Amino acid sequence: MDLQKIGVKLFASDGCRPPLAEFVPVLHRWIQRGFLGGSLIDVVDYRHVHHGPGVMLIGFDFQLAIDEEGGERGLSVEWRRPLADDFGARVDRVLCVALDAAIELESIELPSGAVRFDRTRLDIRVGDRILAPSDDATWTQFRQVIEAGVGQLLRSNHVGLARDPDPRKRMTARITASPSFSLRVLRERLAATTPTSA
Amino acid sequence: MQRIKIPFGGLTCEQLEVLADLAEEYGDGIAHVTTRQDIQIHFVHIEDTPTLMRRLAAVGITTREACGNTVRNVTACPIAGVCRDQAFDVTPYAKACAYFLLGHADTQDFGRKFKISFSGCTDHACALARMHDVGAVAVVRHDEEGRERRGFALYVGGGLGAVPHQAKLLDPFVPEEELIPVTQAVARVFARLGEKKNRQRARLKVVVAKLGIEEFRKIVQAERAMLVPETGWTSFLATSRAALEQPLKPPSALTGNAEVADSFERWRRTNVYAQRQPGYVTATVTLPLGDASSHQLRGLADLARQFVGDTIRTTVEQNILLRWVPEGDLLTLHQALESLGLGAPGAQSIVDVVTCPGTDTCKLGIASSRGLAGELSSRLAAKSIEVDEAVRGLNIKVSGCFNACGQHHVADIGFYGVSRKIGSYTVPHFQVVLGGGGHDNAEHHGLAMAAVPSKRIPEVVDRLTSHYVRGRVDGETFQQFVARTGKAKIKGLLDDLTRVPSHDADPSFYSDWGDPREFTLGDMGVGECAGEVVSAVEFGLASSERQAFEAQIDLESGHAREAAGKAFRAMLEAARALVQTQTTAVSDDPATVLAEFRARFYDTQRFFDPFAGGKFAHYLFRAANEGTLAVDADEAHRRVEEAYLFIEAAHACYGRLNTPAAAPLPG
Repeated sequence: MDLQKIGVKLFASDGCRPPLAEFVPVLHRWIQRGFLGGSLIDVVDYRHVHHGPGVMLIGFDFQLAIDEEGGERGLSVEWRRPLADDFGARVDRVLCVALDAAIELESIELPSGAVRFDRTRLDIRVGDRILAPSDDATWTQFRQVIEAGVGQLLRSNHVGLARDPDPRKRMTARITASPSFSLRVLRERLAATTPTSA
Repeated sequence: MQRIKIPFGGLTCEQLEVLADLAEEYGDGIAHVTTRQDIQIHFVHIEDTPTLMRRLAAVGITTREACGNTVRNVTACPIAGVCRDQAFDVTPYAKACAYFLLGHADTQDFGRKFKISFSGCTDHACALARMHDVGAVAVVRHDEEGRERRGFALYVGGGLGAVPHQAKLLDPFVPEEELIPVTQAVARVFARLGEKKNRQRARLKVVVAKLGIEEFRKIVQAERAMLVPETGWTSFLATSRAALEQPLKPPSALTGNAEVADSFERWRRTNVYAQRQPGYVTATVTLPLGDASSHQLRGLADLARQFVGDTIRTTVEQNILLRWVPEGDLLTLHQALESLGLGAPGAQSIVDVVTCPGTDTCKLGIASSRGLAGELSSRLAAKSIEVDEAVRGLNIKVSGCFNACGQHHVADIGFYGVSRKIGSYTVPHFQVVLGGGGHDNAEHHGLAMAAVPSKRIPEVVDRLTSHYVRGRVDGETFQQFVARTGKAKIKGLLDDLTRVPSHDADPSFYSDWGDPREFTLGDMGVGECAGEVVSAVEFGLASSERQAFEAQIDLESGHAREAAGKAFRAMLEAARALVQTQTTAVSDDPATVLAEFRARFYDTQRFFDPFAGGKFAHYLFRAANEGTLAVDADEAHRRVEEAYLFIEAAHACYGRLNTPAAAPLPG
């Protein structure tokens, strides 16, 4: 079983919901700066879609969104191209982009205030239903890799892992950490194996 | 972008779920309903398309011939079969026609696309039959023994695009058994006589306009007589009268409930249509800008399974329709739709703005049609309660460029994207198009009135609609109001809105809706001498627009030849303005201006549009060659439209001449 189209979502802290429009110029600047690396193509505005992908940065390799899927604001990164290496390394690669973007967003003062991400949870998902159907067999394999990788990454925390119960959604692992983790520490731990994307 | 053909807009629950999965896995999580009832998924990697197509094929959907020089998606009225005013249900005919022509040998050698539409009635706008290459409108006749005979009034050679053409009546009654062979004959004539090299002239509308409908009819009849019969012509007729759809649930009535929310009543007023079958209604699911998320599509599939079964249709207004809803279930259905964020009222009203993708994803887009549509839609929705009933029923359609994918010609209020050079900046504008309408199957095409800065378009809508509310006489439609008021007066109403404040005074005018970047950052550095030339050019272009507008007034007054003459002079004036950028000593003599323009701008390809090539220059040359002697109202209308497009091309050319190479990005 090959797990591809890997996605990561970091959730916004409670009460931290700057208007999505404020992210549009930020993402345009990222394209101009070449921030996050790779080929960044465009910014797409889906603010009009209820609980949708919000404001998106479209890249050749990945898509990044300040999304509201499931009614929860967050920063999502979905890898679109096949990734080599083992599954753990692939997840690390996607996590690096998400963490770089989150750290950068927290450093920016938007017109309505600062952005802050929740340090107690994140989602990791696999999107390719052909390679990995959303069933128990996939979950077993997915869980093993996530437990090993995230366990190492969040080694100072107590980690919880649950499967999103909706079988029609992409296979999603909902990860909780206690006490809260640091975005920078996670990124530094990943730095040894994954190059910076910023 | 992957365009997915949905013949007549018909979808099943399973198909909806697969589309949801594909949008999520291969696109950006959004399925977009188009003005041809297709579904589009954007930002798809080419390597993913074989798998995507296989997954679609597994649920009976093909993407074959959704694009290219082919028969595009066959559209049909989404309420066909349940419509109270239809002659009969056109669905089986649309379906048979779509699949007969799909991949057929006679449809593989076109110079460009070929669009077919089916309408169950003459009056409504549901299928816009008269703006299609082939538009089939259901007609019932009775023979001498009083037996019902089904057939179609067949229109040919319609089309929007840069210059709209009204379809001509090929035959007022094509019997049902002749529908497919006659359409096949039209396709063969198009393949044989249609232009193949010059894409700008390669539509059926050009063939029909060139030959005239009488000659075209003779050729089609001769072609039809030669055809070898095929079983697909009539095999579907054996079941065409059987009901294609069965209601999932028995009919029921909406019982009075004093507790229902205002939001339900507002939604019911605009989004619910009582079917011809008592106890059933259709419910329109309004998709903002035609977009639905994967989560919403799955939710809709669930609701369809619960309430109506596989009776889902996409609409040309970029919405989704659920048919066969028992009326008694409406309240529950609406509550469920609201929980998906899809319970908004306003279907086919002024807030339900139709738009092409524009600059978001289309490489031809000039201005952000989706950005503008979103802005208008949210502003109008916010004040929908106060909006006058007469205004609520108007429709707005927006295209990002002159190519009319947003169907701006057949709207009460249409807009298409253009740009204007203001000093060293390029400013996004929209041409305001009035006088058109979708009713009567899109019989009436609007004309451009004035180019207004993009950021002032909401004011244009406010001003036009409040003027309409104040000035309309009883029962007068917006189109009738525009005709009675006169274009000159309406243009005067908008004149002050055409002005652009300086960049220092208001930089927001220099960026487009939804995109904070400046339209262009080029610094002109124009010297004083050049500055004088620039003024003269801009003056010339403005003067040409005035001439084009006067041509419209003549057209409105029924003076076709005068209108055509002024349209030609408007183009000549714009050409002269461009020539002035090369030499200040330009004669007023038309022949000299033409020669200078041809030598300096056409032969050098300076005037060429990056995508349309020399198309717009041909409008000028053709008008010069053909004169005005044989001009009728249709031809004059076309010339005026062409004059506007020529002037826009002149503006764009002038902009290109004055745009320095892009500066490198800082850092």
